[in-house]
Amino acid sequence: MAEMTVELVAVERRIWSGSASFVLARTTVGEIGVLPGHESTLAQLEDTAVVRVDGTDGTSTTLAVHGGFLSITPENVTVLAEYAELADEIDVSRARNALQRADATDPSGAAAAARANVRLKAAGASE
Amino acid sequence: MAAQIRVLRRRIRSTQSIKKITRAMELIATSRIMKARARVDAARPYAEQITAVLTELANNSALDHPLLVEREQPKRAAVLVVTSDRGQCGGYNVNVLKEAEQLQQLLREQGKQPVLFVIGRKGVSYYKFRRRAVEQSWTGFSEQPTYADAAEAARVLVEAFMEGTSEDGSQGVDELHLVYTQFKNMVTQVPQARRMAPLEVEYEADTVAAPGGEIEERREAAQQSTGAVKPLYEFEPSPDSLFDALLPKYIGARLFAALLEAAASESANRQRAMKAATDNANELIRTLTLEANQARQAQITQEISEIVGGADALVSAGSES
Repeated sequence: MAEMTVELVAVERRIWSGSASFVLARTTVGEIGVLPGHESTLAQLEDTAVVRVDGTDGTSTTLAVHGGFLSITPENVTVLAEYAELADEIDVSRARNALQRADATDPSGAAAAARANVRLKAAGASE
Repeated sequence: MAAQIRVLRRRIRSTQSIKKITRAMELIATSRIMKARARVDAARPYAEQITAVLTELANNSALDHPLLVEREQPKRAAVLVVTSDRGQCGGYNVNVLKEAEQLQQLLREQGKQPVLFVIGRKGVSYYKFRRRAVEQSWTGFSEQPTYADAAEAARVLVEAFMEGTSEDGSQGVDELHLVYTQFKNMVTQVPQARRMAPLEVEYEADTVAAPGGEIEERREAAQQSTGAVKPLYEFEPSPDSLFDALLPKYIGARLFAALLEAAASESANRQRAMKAATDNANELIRTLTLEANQARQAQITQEISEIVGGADALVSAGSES
Protein backbone atom coordinates (compact mmCIF):
# COMPACT_ATOMS: atom_id res chain seq x y z
CA MET A 1 0.00 0.00 0.00
CA ALA A 2 1.19 3.45 -0.85
CA GLU A 3 2.12 5.55 2.09
CA MET A 4 3.38 9.01 2.99
CA THR A 5 5.17 10.51 5.94
CA VAL A 6 2.96 12.70 8.06
CA GLU A 7 4.22 15.19 10.59
CA LEU A 8 2.08 17.24 12.91
CA VAL A 9 4.07 19.95 14.61
CA ALA A 10 2.78 22.52 17.06
CA VAL A 11 4.85 25.51 18.13
CA GLU A 12 5.77 23.96 21.47
CA ARG A 13 6.34 20.37 20.42
CA ARG A 14 5.99 17.73 17.75
CA ILE A 15 2.58 16.17 18.28
CA TRP A 16 2.54 13.22 15.93
CA SER A 17 4.68 11.75 13.22
CA GLY A 18 4.60 8.53 11.29
CA SER A 19 3.51 7.01 8.03
CA ALA A 20 -0.10 7.30 6.94
CA SER A 21 -2.35 6.39 4.05
CA PHE A 22 -4.87 9.21 4.31
CA VAL A 23 -5.16 12.71 5.81
CA LEU A 24 -8.38 14.65 6.09
CA ALA A 25 -8.45 18.37 6.93
CA ARG A 26 -10.53 21.46 6.33
CA THR A 27 -8.85 24.47 4.72
CA THR A 28 -10.20 27.98 4.39
CA VAL A 29 -11.51 27.11 0.92
CA GLY A 30 -12.94 23.69 1.64
CA GLU A 31 -12.36 20.18 2.85
CA ILE A 32 -9.33 18.35 1.53
CA GLY A 33 -8.50 14.65 1.57
CA VAL A 34 -4.90 13.72 0.90
CA LEU A 35 -3.75 10.38 -0.45
CA PRO A 36 -0.13 9.46 -1.11
CA GLY A 37 1.15 11.00 -4.33
CA HIS A 38 -0.92 14.14 -3.92
CA GLU A 39 0.06 17.22 -5.88
CA SER A 40 2.35 19.59 -3.94
CA THR A 41 0.13 22.04 -2.12
CA LEU A 42 0.34 24.71 0.54
CA ALA A 43 -2.90 25.49 2.28
CA GLN A 44 -4.17 27.44 5.23
CA LEU A 45 -6.42 25.46 7.55
CA GLU A 46 -9.47 26.99 9.15
CA ASP A 47 -8.73 28.79 12.41
CA THR A 48 -10.13 25.84 14.25
CA ALA A 49 -10.07 22.59 12.37
CA VAL A 50 -10.32 18.86 12.90
CA VAL A 51 -7.58 16.84 11.23
CA ARG A 52 -7.82 13.09 10.80
CA VAL A 53 -4.80 10.96 10.00
CA ASP A 54 -5.23 7.30 9.04
CA GLY A 55 -2.00 5.52 9.80
CA THR A 56 -0.72 2.62 7.71
CA ASP A 57 -1.08 0.34 10.72
CA GLY A 58 -4.84 0.74 10.60
CA THR A 59 -5.11 3.24 13.43
CA SER A 60 -6.88 6.54 12.98
CA THR A 61 -5.77 9.66 14.85
CA THR A 62 -7.97 12.68 15.23
CA LEU A 63 -6.69 16.08 16.34
CA ALA A 64 -8.03 19.50 17.09
CA VAL A 65 -5.80 22.03 15.31
CA HIS A 66 -5.85 25.78 15.90
CA GLY A 67 -4.28 28.26 13.50
CA GLY A 68 -2.78 25.64 11.22
CA PHE A 69 -1.18 25.32 7.81
CA LEU A 70 -0.91 22.31 5.59
CA SER A 71 2.08 21.57 3.41
CA ILE A 72 1.79 18.65 1.01
CA THR A 73 4.32 17.01 -1.28
CA PRO A 74 3.84 13.64 -2.98
CA GLU A 75 5.71 11.86 -0.16
CA ASN A 76 5.16 14.13 2.83
CA VAL A 77 2.36 15.89 4.61
CA THR A 78 3.16 18.46 7.27
CA VAL A 79 0.61 20.17 9.46
CA LEU A 80 1.91 23.32 11.16
CA ALA A 81 -0.22 24.43 14.05
CA GLU A 82 -0.15 27.12 16.70
CA TYR A 83 -1.85 24.69 19.03
CA ALA A 84 -2.88 21.11 18.48
CA GLU A 85 -4.33 18.44 20.69
CA LEU A 86 -4.72 14.73 20.18
CA ALA A 87 -8.29 13.55 20.56
CA ASP A 88 -7.53 11.43 23.63
CA GLU A 89 -5.68 14.32 25.30
CA ILE A 90 -8.74 16.54 25.17
CA ASP A 91 -10.54 17.14 28.43
CA VAL A 92 -14.14 16.79 27.27
CA SER A 93 -15.82 18.20 30.36
CA ARG A 94 -13.54 21.24 30.32
CA ALA A 95 -14.29 21.88 26.66
CA ARG A 96 -18.03 21.58 27.42
CA ASN A 97 -17.70 24.10 30.23
CA ALA A 98 -15.74 26.46 28.01
CA LEU A 99 -18.43 26.17 25.36
CA GLN A 100 -21.15 27.03 27.85
CA ARG A 101 -19.20 29.91 29.33
CA ALA A 102 -18.26 31.41 25.98
CA ASP A 103 -20.36 34.42 25.14
CA ALA A 104 -21.08 34.10 21.44
CA THR A 105 -21.99 37.77 21.04
CA ASP A 106 -18.49 39.28 21.17
CA PRO A 107 -15.74 38.16 18.77
CA SER A 108 -13.34 36.72 21.36
CA GLY A 109 -16.17 34.72 22.91
CA ALA A 110 -17.18 33.40 19.52
CA ALA A 111 -13.60 32.35 18.88
CA ALA A 112 -13.49 30.59 22.25
CA ALA A 113 -16.74 28.82 21.42
CA ALA A 114 -15.34 27.73 18.06
CA ARG A 115 -12.23 26.40 19.78
CA ALA A 116 -14.26 24.46 22.33
CA ASN A 117 -16.49 23.10 19.56
CA VAL A 118 -13.65 21.79 17.48
CA ARG A 119 -12.11 20.13 20.51
CA LEU A 120 -15.40 18.39 21.26
CA LYS A 121 -15.71 17.37 17.63
CA ALA A 122 -12.18 15.97 17.57
CA ALA A 123 -12.85 14.06 20.78
CA GLY A 124 -16.00 12.65 19.18
CA ALA A 125 -18.16 14.06 21.95
CA SER A 126 -20.13 16.73 20.10
CA GLU A 127 -23.86 16.34 20.08
CA MET B 1 34.26 37.58 75.62
CA ALA B 2 31.18 35.41 76.03
CA ALA B 3 29.22 38.02 74.11
CA GLN B 4 31.63 37.71 71.20
CA ILE B 5 31.18 33.96 70.99
CA ARG B 6 27.41 34.36 71.03
CA VAL B 7 27.58 36.87 68.16
CA LEU B 8 29.84 34.58 66.14
CA ARG B 9 27.59 31.56 66.70
CA ARG B 10 24.56 33.60 65.62
CA ARG B 11 26.30 34.65 62.40
CA ILE B 12 27.27 31.04 61.65
CA ARG B 13 23.67 29.93 62.09
CA SER B 14 22.28 32.65 59.83
CA THR B 15 24.93 31.97 57.18
CA GLN B 16 23.98 28.31 57.28
CA SER B 17 20.33 29.09 56.57
CA ILE B 18 21.28 31.44 53.75
CA LYS B 19 23.39 28.65 52.31
CA LYS B 20 20.44 26.27 52.41
CA ILE B 21 18.37 28.74 50.41
CA THR B 22 21.01 29.49 47.79
CA ARG B 23 21.76 25.78 47.43
CA ALA B 24 18.08 25.03 46.83
CA MET B 25 17.86 27.84 44.28
CA GLU B 26 20.93 26.49 42.53
CA LEU B 27 19.39 23.03 42.23
CA ILE B 28 16.09 24.41 40.98
CA ALA B 29 17.88 26.55 38.39
CA THR B 30 19.86 23.52 37.20
CA SER B 31 16.72 21.51 36.56
CA ARG B 32 15.08 24.53 34.90
CA ILE B 33 17.96 24.83 32.42
CA MET B 34 17.43 21.22 31.40
CA LYS B 35 13.72 21.79 30.94
CA ALA B 36 14.21 25.02 29.02
CA ARG B 37 16.72 23.39 26.70
CA ALA B 38 14.39 20.48 26.10
CA ARG B 39 11.69 22.99 25.17
CA VAL B 40 14.03 24.78 22.78
CA ASP B 41 14.61 21.42 21.09
CA ALA B 42 10.89 20.62 21.08
CA ALA B 43 10.12 23.92 19.37
CA ARG B 44 12.68 23.35 16.63
CA PRO B 45 10.60 21.17 14.23
CA TYR B 46 7.98 23.91 13.92
CA ALA B 47 10.58 26.58 13.26
CA GLU B 48 12.21 24.43 10.59
CA GLN B 49 8.92 23.62 8.90
CA ILE B 50 7.58 27.17 8.90
CA THR B 51 10.88 28.38 7.43
CA ALA B 52 10.64 25.73 4.71
CA VAL B 53 7.07 26.73 3.90
CA LEU B 54 7.96 30.42 3.83
CA THR B 55 10.87 29.75 1.49
CA GLU B 56 8.52 27.91 -0.81
CA LEU B 57 6.06 30.78 -0.69
CA ALA B 58 8.74 33.38 -1.27
CA ASN B 59 9.47 31.75 -4.59
CA ASN B 60 5.87 32.22 -5.64
CA SER B 61 4.72 35.42 -4.03
CA ALA B 62 5.25 39.08 -4.84
CA LEU B 63 7.30 39.78 -1.68
CA ASP B 64 5.75 43.20 -1.33
CA HIS B 65 4.17 42.40 2.01
CA PRO B 66 4.55 45.33 4.44
CA LEU B 67 6.43 43.07 6.86
CA LEU B 68 9.16 42.53 4.28
CA VAL B 69 9.61 46.00 2.83
CA GLU B 70 11.81 48.68 4.38
CA ARG B 71 9.92 51.87 5.19
CA GLU B 72 11.31 54.88 3.40
CA GLN B 73 11.72 57.16 6.38
CA PRO B 74 11.43 55.17 9.57
CA LYS B 75 10.57 57.47 12.47
CA ARG B 76 9.82 55.23 15.39
CA ALA B 77 11.38 51.88 16.18
CA ALA B 78 9.99 49.44 18.75
CA VAL B 79 12.53 47.81 21.04
CA LEU B 80 11.38 44.69 22.88
CA VAL B 81 13.64 43.95 25.84
CA VAL B 82 13.47 40.47 27.38
CA THR B 83 14.47 40.50 31.06
CA SER B 84 13.73 38.25 34.01
CA ASP B 85 10.97 38.49 36.60
CA ARG B 86 13.14 37.68 39.59
CA GLY B 87 16.61 38.77 40.61
CA GLN B 88 19.39 36.57 42.01
CA CYS B 89 20.68 35.83 38.56
CA GLY B 90 24.01 37.61 38.43
CA GLY B 91 24.61 40.00 35.57
CA TYR B 92 21.79 38.66 33.40
CA ASN B 93 19.51 41.69 33.51
CA VAL B 94 22.32 44.23 33.59
CA ASN B 95 23.83 42.79 30.43
CA VAL B 96 20.56 42.70 28.54
CA LEU B 97 19.65 46.24 29.60
CA LYS B 98 23.08 47.50 28.62
CA GLU B 99 22.66 45.96 25.17
CA ALA B 100 19.23 47.60 24.94
CA GLU B 101 20.72 50.99 25.83
CA GLN B 102 23.31 50.62 23.09
CA LEU B 103 20.66 49.72 20.55
CA GLN B 104 18.55 52.72 21.54
CA GLN B 105 21.58 54.96 21.23
CA LEU B 106 22.21 53.59 17.74
CA LEU B 107 18.59 54.09 16.73
CA ARG B 108 18.66 57.68 17.95
CA GLU B 109 21.81 58.34 15.93
CA GLN B 110 19.95 57.05 12.89
CA GLY B 111 17.20 59.55 13.61
CA LYS B 112 14.65 57.04 14.85
CA GLN B 113 12.83 57.36 18.10
CA PRO B 114 12.99 54.16 20.16
CA VAL B 115 9.74 52.94 21.70
CA LEU B 116 10.15 50.54 24.60
CA PHE B 117 8.31 47.28 25.09
CA VAL B 118 9.43 45.22 28.06
CA ILE B 119 9.08 41.60 29.14
CA GLY B 120 9.96 40.79 32.75
CA ARG B 121 9.52 42.64 36.04
CA LYS B 122 13.21 43.57 36.37
CA GLY B 123 13.17 45.48 33.11
CA VAL B 124 9.94 47.22 34.05
CA SER B 125 11.34 48.45 37.35
CA TYR B 126 14.62 49.50 35.69
CA TYR B 127 12.81 51.86 33.34
CA LYS B 128 10.29 52.93 35.94
CA PHE B 129 13.08 53.98 38.31
CA ARG B 130 14.64 56.05 35.53
CA ARG B 131 11.23 57.50 34.62
CA ARG B 132 11.47 56.31 31.05
CA ALA B 133 8.23 55.71 29.19
CA VAL B 134 7.43 52.07 28.49
CA GLU B 135 4.81 51.56 25.82
CA GLN B 136 3.68 48.18 27.07
CA SER B 137 5.02 45.43 29.31
CA TRP B 138 4.32 41.78 30.04
CA THR B 139 5.42 40.04 33.22
CA GLY B 140 5.11 36.76 35.08
CA PHE B 141 6.37 34.20 32.58
CA SER B 142 10.08 34.88 32.08
CA GLU B 143 11.20 31.52 33.47
CA GLN B 144 8.62 29.35 31.77
CA PRO B 145 7.21 31.14 28.75
CA THR B 146 4.35 29.59 26.81
CA TYR B 147 3.49 30.19 23.19
CA ALA B 148 0.38 32.10 24.26
CA ASP B 149 2.62 34.71 25.95
CA ALA B 150 4.81 35.06 22.88
CA ALA B 151 1.80 35.23 20.57
CA GLU B 152 0.21 38.00 22.65
CA ALA B 153 3.37 40.13 22.57
CA ALA B 154 3.88 39.39 18.86
CA ARG B 155 0.29 40.39 18.10
CA VAL B 156 0.67 43.78 19.78
CA LEU B 157 4.02 44.43 18.08
CA VAL B 158 2.86 43.38 14.61
CA GLU B 159 -0.27 45.51 14.98
CA ALA B 160 1.82 48.56 15.90
CA PHE B 161 4.11 47.81 12.98
CA MET B 162 1.37 47.35 10.40
CA GLU B 163 -0.15 50.62 11.52
CA GLY B 164 3.10 52.48 10.81
CA THR B 165 4.08 55.73 12.47
CA SER B 166 1.11 58.06 12.56
CA GLU B 167 1.26 61.62 11.20
CA ASP B 168 1.88 63.23 14.57
CA GLY B 169 4.43 60.55 15.45
CA SER B 170 2.70 59.40 18.60
CA GLN B 171 1.55 55.94 17.61
CA GLY B 172 2.68 52.94 15.63
CA VAL B 173 6.22 51.99 14.69
CA ASP B 174 8.24 51.43 11.51
CA GLU B 175 10.69 48.85 12.81
CA LEU B 176 10.69 46.05 15.37
CA HIS B 177 13.82 45.20 17.33
CA LEU B 178 14.35 42.48 19.88
CA VAL B 179 16.95 42.37 22.65
CA TYR B 180 17.33 39.04 24.41
CA THR B 181 20.00 36.75 25.76
CA GLN B 182 21.19 34.05 23.47
CA PHE B 183 21.98 30.70 25.05
CA LYS B 184 25.22 29.46 23.54
CA ASN B 185 26.08 26.84 26.12
CA MET B 186 26.04 26.36 29.87
CA VAL B 187 28.81 28.90 30.45
CA THR B 188 28.25 31.42 27.65
CA GLN B 189 25.10 33.48 27.23
CA VAL B 190 25.36 36.55 25.07
CA PRO B 191 22.92 39.46 24.97
CA GLN B 192 21.78 40.01 21.41
CA ALA B 193 19.95 42.73 19.53
CA ARG B 194 18.04 41.64 16.46
CA ARG B 195 15.70 43.21 13.99
CA MET B 196 12.40 41.35 13.71
CA ALA B 197 10.71 43.57 11.15
CA PRO B 198 11.03 44.44 8.35
CA LEU B 199 11.68 40.73 8.19
CA GLU B 200 14.77 39.07 7.01
CA VAL B 201 13.44 35.65 6.21
CA GLU B 202 16.05 33.04 6.96
CA TYR B 203 16.05 31.14 3.72
CA GLU B 204 17.47 27.69 3.59
CA ALA B 205 20.92 26.96 2.16
CA ASP B 206 22.32 29.50 -0.28
CA THR B 207 19.32 31.81 -0.56
CA VAL B 208 20.39 33.77 2.51
CA ALA B 209 18.34 36.53 4.10
CA ALA B 210 18.51 39.85 2.35
CA PRO B 211 16.21 42.81 2.85
CA GLY B 212 14.37 44.69 0.13
CA GLY B 213 15.45 44.53 -3.47
CA GLU B 214 18.19 42.02 -2.90
CA ILE B 215 15.63 39.36 -2.07
CA GLU B 216 14.20 39.66 -5.56
CA GLU B 217 17.56 39.10 -7.23
CA ARG B 218 18.47 36.20 -5.04
CA ARG B 219 15.05 34.71 -5.48
CA GLU B 220 15.41 34.82 -9.23
CA ALA B 221 18.85 33.30 -8.98
CA ALA B 222 17.48 30.59 -6.73
CA GLN B 223 14.66 29.92 -9.14
CA GLN B 224 17.03 29.54 -12.00
CA SER B 225 19.26 27.16 -10.15
CA THR B 226 16.61 25.03 -8.50
CA GLY B 227 13.42 25.83 -10.42
CA ALA B 228 13.75 22.88 -12.75
CA VAL B 229 13.79 20.26 -10.00
CA LYS B 230 11.51 21.83 -7.41
CA PRO B 231 7.91 20.64 -7.44
CA LEU B 232 5.38 23.27 -8.42
CA TYR B 233 3.06 24.05 -5.58
CA GLU B 234 -0.66 24.60 -5.56
CA PHE B 235 -1.84 27.27 -3.15
CA GLU B 236 -5.07 27.44 -1.23
CA PRO B 237 -5.90 30.30 -0.94
CA SER B 238 -3.61 32.44 -3.12
CA PRO B 239 0.12 32.69 -2.27
CA ASP B 240 -0.24 36.32 -1.24
CA SER B 241 -2.99 35.75 1.28
CA LEU B 242 -1.13 32.71 2.60
CA PHE B 243 1.86 34.96 3.06
CA ASP B 244 -0.27 37.46 4.97
CA ALA B 245 -1.42 34.72 7.32
CA LEU B 246 1.96 33.06 7.74
CA LEU B 247 4.27 36.02 8.39
CA PRO B 248 2.77 37.11 11.74
CA LYS B 249 2.91 33.47 12.87
CA TYR B 250 6.54 33.34 11.79
CA ILE B 251 7.28 36.38 13.92
CA GLY B 252 5.41 34.78 16.80
CA ALA B 253 7.45 31.59 16.44
CA ARG B 254 10.73 33.52 16.32
CA LEU B 255 9.75 35.52 19.39
CA PHE B 256 8.78 32.32 21.19
CA ALA B 257 12.14 30.77 20.34
CA ALA B 258 13.88 33.89 21.68
CA LEU B 259 11.85 33.74 24.90
CA LEU B 260 12.80 30.09 25.40
CA GLU B 261 16.46 30.87 24.91
CA ALA B 262 16.21 33.81 27.29
CA ALA B 263 14.59 31.53 29.87
CA ALA B 264 17.41 29.01 29.53
CA SER B 265 19.98 31.81 29.83
CA GLU B 266 18.27 33.22 32.89
CA SER B 267 18.33 29.85 34.63
CA ALA B 268 21.97 29.29 33.67
CA ASN B 269 22.90 32.71 35.07
CA ARG B 270 20.94 32.07 38.23
CA GLN B 271 22.55 28.67 38.66
CA ARG B 272 26.00 30.23 38.37
CA ALA B 273 25.20 33.10 40.74
CA MET B 274 23.71 30.75 43.31
CA LYS B 275 26.65 28.35 43.09
CA ALA B 276 29.00 31.25 43.80
CA ALA B 277 26.79 32.33 46.71
CA THR B 278 26.79 28.81 48.19
CA ASP B 279 30.58 28.60 47.87
CA ASN B 280 30.97 31.97 49.57
CA ALA B 281 28.66 30.89 52.38
CA ASN B 282 30.79 27.77 52.91
CA GLU B 283 33.94 29.87 53.07
CA LEU B 284 32.33 32.32 55.49
CA ILE B 285 31.12 29.52 57.75
CA ARG B 286 34.64 28.08 57.83
CA THR B 287 36.28 31.37 58.86
CA LEU B 288 33.59 32.15 61.41
CA THR B 289 33.85 28.68 62.98
CA LEU B 290 37.61 29.15 63.28
CA GLU B 291 37.12 32.52 64.92
CA ALA B 292 34.49 31.19 67.31
CA ASN B 293 36.74 28.31 68.34
CA GLN B 294 39.62 30.69 68.99
CA ALA B 295 37.38 32.92 71.08
CA ARG B 296 36.13 29.90 73.04
CA GLN B 297 39.69 28.73 73.67
CA ALA B 298 40.76 32.23 74.75
CA GLN B 299 37.82 32.35 77.16
CA ILE B 300 38.79 28.99 78.73
CA THR B 301 42.43 30.07 79.06
CA GLN B 302 41.36 33.28 80.71
CA GLU B 303 39.07 31.46 83.15
CA ILE B 304 41.86 29.06 84.13
CA SER B 305 44.32 31.88 84.74
CA GLU B 306 41.68 33.72 86.78
CA ILE B 307 41.08 30.62 88.94
CA VAL B 308 44.80 30.02 89.38
CA GLY B 309 45.33 33.68 90.22
CA GLY B 310 42.48 33.59 92.74
CA ALA B 311 43.81 30.40 94.37
CA ASP B 312 47.31 31.93 94.60
CA ALA B 313 45.87 35.05 96.21
CA LEU B 314 44.00 32.89 98.79
CA VAL B 315 47.12 30.85 99.52
CA SER B 316 49.32 33.94 100.00
CA ALA B 317 46.61 35.61 102.12
CA GLY B 318 46.44 32.44 104.35
CA SER B 319 50.26 32.28 104.90
CA GLU B 320 50.42 35.90 106.01
CA SER B 321 47.91 35.50 108.83
